[in-house]
Amino acid sequence: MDFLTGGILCIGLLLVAMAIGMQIGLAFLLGGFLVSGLLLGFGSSVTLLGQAAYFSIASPTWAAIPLFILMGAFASNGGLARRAYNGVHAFARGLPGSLMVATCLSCGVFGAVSGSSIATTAIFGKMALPEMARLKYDKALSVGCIASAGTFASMIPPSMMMIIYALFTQQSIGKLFAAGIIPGFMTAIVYAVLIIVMVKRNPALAPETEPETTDANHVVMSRSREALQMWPVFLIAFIVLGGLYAGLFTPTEAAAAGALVTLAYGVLTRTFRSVGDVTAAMQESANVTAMLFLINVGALFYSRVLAVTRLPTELTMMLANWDVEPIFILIGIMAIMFFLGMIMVPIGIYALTLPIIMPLLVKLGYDPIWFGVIALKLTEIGAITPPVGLNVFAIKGVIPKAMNVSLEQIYKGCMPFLLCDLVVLVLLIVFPQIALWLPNLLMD
Amino acid sequence: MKKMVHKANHLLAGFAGWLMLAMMMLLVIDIIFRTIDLPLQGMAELSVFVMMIVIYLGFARCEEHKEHVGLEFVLLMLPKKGQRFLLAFSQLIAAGTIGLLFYAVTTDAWSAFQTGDAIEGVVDLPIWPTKFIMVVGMFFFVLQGFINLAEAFRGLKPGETGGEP
Amino acid sequence: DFTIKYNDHDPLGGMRTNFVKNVWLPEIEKQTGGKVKIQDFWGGALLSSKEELKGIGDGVVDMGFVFPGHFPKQLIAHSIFNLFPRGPKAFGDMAKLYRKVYAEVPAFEAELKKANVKTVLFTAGLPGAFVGTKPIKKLADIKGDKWRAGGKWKLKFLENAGALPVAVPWGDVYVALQTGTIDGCFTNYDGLHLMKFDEVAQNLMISKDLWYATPFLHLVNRKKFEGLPADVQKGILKASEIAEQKFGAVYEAAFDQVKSEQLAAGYTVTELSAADVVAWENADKLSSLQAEWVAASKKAGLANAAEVMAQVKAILNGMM
Ligand code: NA
Ligand code: NA
Repeated sequence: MDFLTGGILCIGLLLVAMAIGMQIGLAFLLGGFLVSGLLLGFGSSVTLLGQAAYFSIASPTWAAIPLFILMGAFASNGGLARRAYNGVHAFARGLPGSLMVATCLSCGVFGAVSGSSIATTAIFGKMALPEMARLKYDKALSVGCIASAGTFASMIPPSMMMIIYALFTQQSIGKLFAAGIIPGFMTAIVYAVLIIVMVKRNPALAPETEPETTDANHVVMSRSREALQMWPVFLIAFIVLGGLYAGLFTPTEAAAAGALVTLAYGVLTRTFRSVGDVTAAMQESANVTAMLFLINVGALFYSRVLAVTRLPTELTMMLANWDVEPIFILIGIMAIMFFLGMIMVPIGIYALTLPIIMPLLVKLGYDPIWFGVIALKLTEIGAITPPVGLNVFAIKGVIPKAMNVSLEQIYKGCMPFLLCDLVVLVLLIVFPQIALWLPNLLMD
Repeated sequence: MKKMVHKANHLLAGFAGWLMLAMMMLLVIDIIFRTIDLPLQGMAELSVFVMMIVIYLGFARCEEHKEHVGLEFVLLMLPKKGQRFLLAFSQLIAAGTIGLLFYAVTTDAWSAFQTGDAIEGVVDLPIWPTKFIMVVGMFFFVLQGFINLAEAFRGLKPGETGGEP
Repeated sequence: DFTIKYNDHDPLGGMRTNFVKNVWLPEIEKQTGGKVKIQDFWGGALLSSKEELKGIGDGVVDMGFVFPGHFPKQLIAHSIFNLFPRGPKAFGDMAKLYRKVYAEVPAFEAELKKANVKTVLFTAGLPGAFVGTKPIKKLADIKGDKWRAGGKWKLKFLENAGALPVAVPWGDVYVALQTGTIDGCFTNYDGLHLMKFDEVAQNLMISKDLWYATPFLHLVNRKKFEGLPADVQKGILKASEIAEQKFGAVYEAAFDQVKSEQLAAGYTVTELSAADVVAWENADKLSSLQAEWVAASKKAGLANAAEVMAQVKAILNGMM
């Protein structure tokens, strides 16, 4: 089978399986397995699937995700998240969509701890969504906001994907880390502006009406006092950030430390009233972990099968032989990465395209550090584009059932932020200095 | 049968909850002992084992409560009767796929047992016990997949309401 | 015509992967007169490191790279070289050693056969090197500090040298060095440079005496290979022989290049003294480690581990 037939079959089967409403993880597995069976035979495909079911996720890097989910559950069920968002609400009353704006900026700060965008999405979904729902924020927009803001964790160091990019392209990790900081926070600010503009034009998106049942305390408490209630949040942020940058623990371990500190807060302040409250949080996290990782296993397996079809490789190679202006080749490369981002996981995209793209880009005079930021932006956009958006799946897992938000609604909610990302992307291309100024300042 | 599987799923999921805590503690202990200059070995690897168990033991419960997400736009375009047919059809394929994954995971676990596959460390940690627990989780996932299938088919009979989206 | 899938869990850009991509695989196509077409997969795009042995043996790919350390219970005999911390300096001598051991000690071929694979090419990692955040001029400078190494035997050598061997996930090592979670890492010289550890830990201690002591195996699925026409088999073996001879120069050049890049970046690169190499080898404790290997390997299923140890020791001594 040639690469085009194999690739189209592979993608077509996935789309059909997803369209008929199959569980996403199973849709990946089925589509992948059928094509793999055709290309490699049944026995080899069983080996590929059986091993991938374990080894594709059995690494400490992935372990950070369940632990951040656990931390989110502890923060949410233990009252910490409520406290934080009450504080934000009190402090930033009058700012349209204040909770969403605060979530965007917090995702940026949290990105300095977490290296994984899925983990960041899951933890903020768990903490922020119930609070946004309480204030009657537009469901799709709040969910889309968190799924999109989760991507900051990859752009702002430390970043797992940047380490992988550096490894695949032989670039300095330090320079890449530095290059991501400004684009990361810039995106956060663009998101915040977008939210403010959208809510100003349509206040129904974030009415910020407290439900009737709120206890009287809230009403009498002064704004500053309520804002002061946020101290435990800053304390926990300080411990986790401080512990990481003081070398007490690694990015992976930060998730465990953060979960423990959050649990300790809930227990010490007695917001966890019983053991049952704690076990409920633990069990919820375990459920979300299982749901999310069936998708991860499926997506990683599927990426491998797509590699076997060689569609991504062949597509990229075609560009290499294309005789046009460099900028068109760059646009072509970005189009391919955007397209692959729709159906593949980031690491698969890197592994299959970078070996071909990199020499080409260097020959055309593009800066590999700069392109690292572009590539990351594109793969992170892929995390929120249908049909395969890992951040969208991550947030779907932590949405309270009562909120009843479908995947389609989440994708729709991500669209405004996707447009922001594209604007930032264009800015990065027109003004490469946005990415390159800081690394050049720090490293040369 | 359905009750028994429900009970098993519930037990496994509850156990997985505690494992989340174990996973956290393993890494925290690792941090503490490293900080006081008594570094331990193999804790990160153990926490990965625990994570794999959490994941695979949780599949069945998610399936029971329909928490494995999917797209719904085609479903919502169909009339009631069409919806039931689509649900039954997609669950039929889903159950088959779960069975396939079960087969692959079992084959892999058996081969890990036969070769004694281990993670190299100061003490080589064998992988097969974790993989065997994954097989147990997959076993209940398969059962639940077929229970859901049976329900979806019951929904096809006129006058029944099972299998509502 | 035959399409052969080749997998390596590491990305292109390293000494080994570039060599395979640019020298060996094209040579196979050439030596088989274009009958063999290679489809290559890098950076774990198809199989991750722990999946490679079974992946090749079960025909997910036809050829690929395997680091024996990832398979402590399947490639038991292959781990023995770790127990000889001082080895050949030149790659040509390493390859000769490995070929001799394959020819004279049946345990090696046996475990490959069991996994349905066959080694067609050896390569190697550059020597083991120390990369630390604090100034290190001599072996004693790592005493009491937290050091990471890959694999149990290297951890034991670190321990014998007075360091605190710590386990930090491989993907976290860069940040762990940067923030000071660990003080250093002992691994192959090309690997630490590829992973950019030297960017955040700019003190290096190297010696060509400390060979990396693990053969890097480039395997082929045994059944697939035996099913190929004789001329194609011959072409693959011929290409591998040519490549193995060329790798020696690549190995030397890579060592010098890493070193010169580090010096140019202003890092401190110190040659380990002869006395320190002897101290690292730690003759007193070495024989007990070797005995430990024999016991552990026996338990893992290598019945004649003691005999294998004696044979390999004799071959090594004969060559050094
Ligand atoms: Na980050
Ligand atoms: Na996508």
